Amino acid sequence: MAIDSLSFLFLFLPAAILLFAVTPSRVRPVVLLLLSGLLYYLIEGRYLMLMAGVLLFDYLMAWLLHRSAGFPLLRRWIVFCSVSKSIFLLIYYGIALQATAAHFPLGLGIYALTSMGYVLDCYHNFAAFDRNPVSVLLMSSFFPCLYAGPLTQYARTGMQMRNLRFTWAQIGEGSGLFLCGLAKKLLLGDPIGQMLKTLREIPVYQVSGLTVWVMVATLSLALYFILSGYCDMARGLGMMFGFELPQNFFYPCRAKSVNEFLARFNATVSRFMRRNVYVTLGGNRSAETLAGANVLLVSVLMGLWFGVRVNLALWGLSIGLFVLLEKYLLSKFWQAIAPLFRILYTMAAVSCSFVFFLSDSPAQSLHYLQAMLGLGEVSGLNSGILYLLASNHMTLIVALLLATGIPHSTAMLLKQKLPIVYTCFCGAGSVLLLTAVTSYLL
Amino acid sequence: MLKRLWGVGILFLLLGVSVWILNAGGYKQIKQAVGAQDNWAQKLEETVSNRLPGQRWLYYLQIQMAYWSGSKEQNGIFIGENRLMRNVQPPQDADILQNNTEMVLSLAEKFERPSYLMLIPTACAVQQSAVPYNSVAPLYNQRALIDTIYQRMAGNVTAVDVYPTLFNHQGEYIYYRTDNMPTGMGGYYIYSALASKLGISNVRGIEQFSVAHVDYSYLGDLYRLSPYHAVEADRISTYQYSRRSNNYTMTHYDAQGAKKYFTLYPEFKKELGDGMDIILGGVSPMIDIEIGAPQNNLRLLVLGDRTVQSYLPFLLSHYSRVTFVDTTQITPEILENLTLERYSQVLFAFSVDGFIEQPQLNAFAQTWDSKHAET
Repeated sequence: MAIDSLSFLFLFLPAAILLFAVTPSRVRPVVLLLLSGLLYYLIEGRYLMLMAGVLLFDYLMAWLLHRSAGFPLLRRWIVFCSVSKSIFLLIYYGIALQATAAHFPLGLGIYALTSMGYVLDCYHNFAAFDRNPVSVLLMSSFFPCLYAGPLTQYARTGMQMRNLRFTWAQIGEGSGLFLCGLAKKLLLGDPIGQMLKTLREIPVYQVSGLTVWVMVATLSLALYFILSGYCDMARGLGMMFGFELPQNFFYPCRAKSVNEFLARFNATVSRFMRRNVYVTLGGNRSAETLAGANVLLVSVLMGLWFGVRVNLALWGLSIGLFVLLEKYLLSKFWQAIAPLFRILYTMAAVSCSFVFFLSDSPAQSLHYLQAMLGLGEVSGLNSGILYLLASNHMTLIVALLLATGIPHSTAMLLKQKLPIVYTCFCGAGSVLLLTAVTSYLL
Repeated sequence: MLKRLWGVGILFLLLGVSVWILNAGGYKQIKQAVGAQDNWAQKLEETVSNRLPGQRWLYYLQIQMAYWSGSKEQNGIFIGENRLMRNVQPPQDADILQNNTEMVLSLAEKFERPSYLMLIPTACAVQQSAVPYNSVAPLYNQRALIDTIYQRMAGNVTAVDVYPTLFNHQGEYIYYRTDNMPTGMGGYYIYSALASKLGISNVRGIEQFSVAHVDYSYLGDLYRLSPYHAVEADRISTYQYSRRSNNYTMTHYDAQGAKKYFTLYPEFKKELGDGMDIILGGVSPMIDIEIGAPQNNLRLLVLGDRTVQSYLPFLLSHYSRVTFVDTTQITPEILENLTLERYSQVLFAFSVDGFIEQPQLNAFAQTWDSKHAET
């Protein structure tokens, strides 16, 4: 029963909201935790024990940190245990998936890093130990977040979960956001993903430069709409259940530098890595070489976030190299360049790096890059690809328009100037979106 | 206040749908689905999907939204301006085409009488301008395929090229909008190209046939296959040679035995369901038509498929007897009623897509060989 299914939408969700509404506010976090656990069990079965084990282990580590205030060496060992446990699990399941096509538990990366983040926050005194484990466990295991995030921090989210309010306004706004996310995923992300799948079936040696550009563009759009769709669904459901989750995608195609792209694309993961890896290893305060190495390490980790594969590490590395290029070579005259050209440069740089994301091996990536830069043997776009683009032209046009954020900015302007019209529009829009996504889920 | 109304409205909408799903036995079905050993999530999803209110309407909305998004080919069928066309692609199994071609040559050799092969291109090959995104659509070159096959026939079987005639009249109603075959008008143009090859000197003009429109609401195979249904229904027309009143005795042979009709267009067939069955009484494994007061003694044997319904009515006035055999449906018992020696000409006539996708003549050839082995 995934969150993008009819049974979730029309059976589980209304029942969950009703149950949540009639439950006394003190018990609501427990109810929500149990519902998350139930949903996880329905999908992953026995892997619920793994999740419970990881979260309880980290809660125990946080408790030990709380009890070991005057023992710095012990505190470092406690943190080491939590971090190495998370890294071990991610590498183990990531490599097992590659080597033996084993099952990768849903949300392992999300809940492992979120709960590890809580331990790190307790270590750095960014968060106090919470004697009530429910909000900590709920923060890490809230079911909708397990698909694609966002990664949450105790200081922002965990505190909200202690006191969950039910209001009809939040149900309305939350449902609107949830339906927007579901529509993004079903109506845009999935069809564009299907296009990409068709394009990837073209043998590598038959791929022209234009084809690679089309593949990279469809990959970027599919990734954006699927991931941001899941994040919006999570945020919408969070809002319905009385808490606010951070935004994870801020219209990455508006980025005027690769560094800014990282802050807009999968932003919570980027922030997590910067806070817990880059800053911990010295950040900007360390020597230039070390700072540069830290940047590369963080970007490689951001690539590995999507899976334990060489190509994803290379993707992260390429992003990191562009960040260093901007920091050390381009920074002097960067602001003098017109914003449009900065955006175009960013899109080109990110597109080139997405070639690694697209490919199955470094050799294939090299072939694609050569083709992209006009050094390949095949040229032009064959009619099959043009037909594919023509058959999806409206989806692509709508996707490109939404990716710019212009409709969202217009909606915010309307919200500011004419809030009543905006609310009516959102209400009617929710019903239309519900109808559209229901038809697509059939 | 409005935001509260919004919240209340959405929750009541979701609850309303839940109640609808669970009502009238829905709860039991869902309980059964959840209790299933395997794939309970999929079964639950199917149960909920089947019990959604307005499910058919939602399904058509999905199809319409896919159409609006630019997808004008669904289920292998092109959705043109108010018409459907089957997207014919290169054969998955090249052996089928090879086999069919060799069967034609082999049977022509065994029959030892003038033999003709006519491959009828489909709508997407003739009316290419009606294919969505036709400048980039990956259309199979049926013209080149027909030429290649006809080259193999040279010297053994006379090839009948109907492509140019149909192409020259592509703007007319020569293919059904909802079915993968030529209309009566298309059949006339096929006849006009075929007749000269068959040695018919007095090819009749269309004005010599009286037209009757017997069905305005025909929805053919493509309509059933395609999820998109916003297409106008087809018109079925019958053509009778009007210069002379011919008496026809049409005998249909099928598994139930033989049925005789004394008209080419038994209109009562429309009441039984399929409007296309008015034309020649439908397509049976064998149809034998005797023409009363014929002008000559010529007899034609047609081995083919359902496209025969389009052109055969125009050919009849030139023969004393025409027998059609559906080569994929024929059985040894029915073939007992066929005596090849009575026929002066043999015509192999197939639609291109059927010829490249299905073994057309294997069943007939085996039946024929076993019949002649016994004798």
